[in-house]
Amino acid sequence: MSVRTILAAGVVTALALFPSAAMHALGDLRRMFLGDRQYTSDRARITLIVPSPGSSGRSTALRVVYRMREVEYRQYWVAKIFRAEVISGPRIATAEEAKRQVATTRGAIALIPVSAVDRTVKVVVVNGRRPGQTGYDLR
Amino acid sequence: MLLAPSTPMLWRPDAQLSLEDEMRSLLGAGVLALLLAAPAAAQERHPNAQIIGFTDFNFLTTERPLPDGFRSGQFAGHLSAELTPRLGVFAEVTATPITPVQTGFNIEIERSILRYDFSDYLKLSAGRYHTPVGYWNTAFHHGQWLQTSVNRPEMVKFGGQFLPVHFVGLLAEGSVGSGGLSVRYHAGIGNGRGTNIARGGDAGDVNPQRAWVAGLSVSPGTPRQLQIGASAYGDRANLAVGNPVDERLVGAFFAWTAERPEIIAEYASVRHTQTGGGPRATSKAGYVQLAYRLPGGASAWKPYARYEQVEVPAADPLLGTLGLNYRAVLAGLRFDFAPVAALKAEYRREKPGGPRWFDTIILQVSFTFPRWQEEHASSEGVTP
Repeated sequence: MSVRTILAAGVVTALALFPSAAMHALGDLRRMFLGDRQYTSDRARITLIVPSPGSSGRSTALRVVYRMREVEYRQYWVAKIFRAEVISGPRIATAEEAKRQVATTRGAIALIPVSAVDRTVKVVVVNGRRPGQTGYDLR
Repeated sequence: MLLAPSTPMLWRPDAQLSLEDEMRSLLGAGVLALLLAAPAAAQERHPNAQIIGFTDFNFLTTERPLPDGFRSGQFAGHLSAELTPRLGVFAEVTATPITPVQTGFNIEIERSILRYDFSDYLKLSAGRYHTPVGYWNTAFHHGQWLQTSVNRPEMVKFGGQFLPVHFVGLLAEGSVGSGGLSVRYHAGIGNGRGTNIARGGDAGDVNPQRAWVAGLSVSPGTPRQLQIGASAYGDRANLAVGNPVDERLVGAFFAWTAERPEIIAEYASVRHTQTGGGPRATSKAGYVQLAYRLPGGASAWKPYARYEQVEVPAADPLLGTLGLNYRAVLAGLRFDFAPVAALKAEYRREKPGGPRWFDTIILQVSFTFPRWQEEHASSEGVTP
């Protein structure tokens, strides 16, 4: 299993599995998670993996990355699919499942709790900061 | 007291059904049935298939000379499916009550699109589209639940004639971005208005002059869900009598749909020139809609208001005799009583041509189904 890149923040982590991109601006990550950017720079299809509803990471993902309430998030993806801008929305997974998917799937990007980060993945640097550093955005 | 559909004069108010119409209805009904039956089967066969449905029911009382009573709204089914990692298909089928006199539903294939994604920068598609001019026509399609108000603005109403609502042809689109900034473009060529100018040329163009469309929009990322864009459209439309009319449309929009607030404004100017030295005139239309999702415990409630206007001079060689002049002010309240359903109450004051204003009150319940949920990442292989 190859080591991939992870993006961690506070309680929740964005686990970004981009082999070639260990650092992202938060705006870039938002474009990916909003489905506005659907391919990596090497033309791999981006697969979004987010925490399941009710999990500890879900609210952080919605607040920090999507900046939406749960109901807005669902309406956003219904509209996005209905407009034919994307074929499907993000997928959900537990942290362990997300790590497995990210480690084995080209172009996958996931959000997991920072406590779940291990050596199978690397933390993605967001706006130049890592989890635990002052000013890290994904908290 | 009068009652009318959510969109007055939806599809073909003229309608004696011909054999061709009936065949098309049968074909559409088959596709619609397939869409409705497809969710479980499609998702079992291929993980990347999504089915979304919308429908609405209305009660309307109005001073306008429109039919009275409760009314079924439009039923819309949408299928999107990934055929290969880069090839996708999108289809939207609707069933619409015909008229109170002629009972039954009119089945229509609204969109049918096959698209290949080269990258974010270039996606090529072919099919039948809602013409990508302005904002509303491609933002909400036939999903009444998605839009804040009960109906579309007059300038983009389905079955309307001011804008060419449908487009059959080829479309290139894509986006570039950095940070939160996204710039999107589209450009297409295809069949424009048909002999019935409210419809696209589904079975071929009515003249050798193809329609074209192009547009550009920008989303800065912050504030979120803000989009500003402009588009242009050109075509040659045939008249029943007289020389064809060249059509040149330019439009712009501002859409900030972050709920607190929601501001959508759109404007279009369309110049019609009759070939052979005939008359030339410019018609204009636009609207501004404001809404605000209330905070805290009242977040299910969303008051809204809209002003809209359509101005068509009598000298317009394509639209001048159709009585399209229109002004309206409306105010409403949307109540999202469930995550997938909304109740809307709306008051309109309209002046559809002529000097008189008409008052209308509409109640609508609209919803989407099934409730959308993310697929589980471990339930199937993620496409590499």
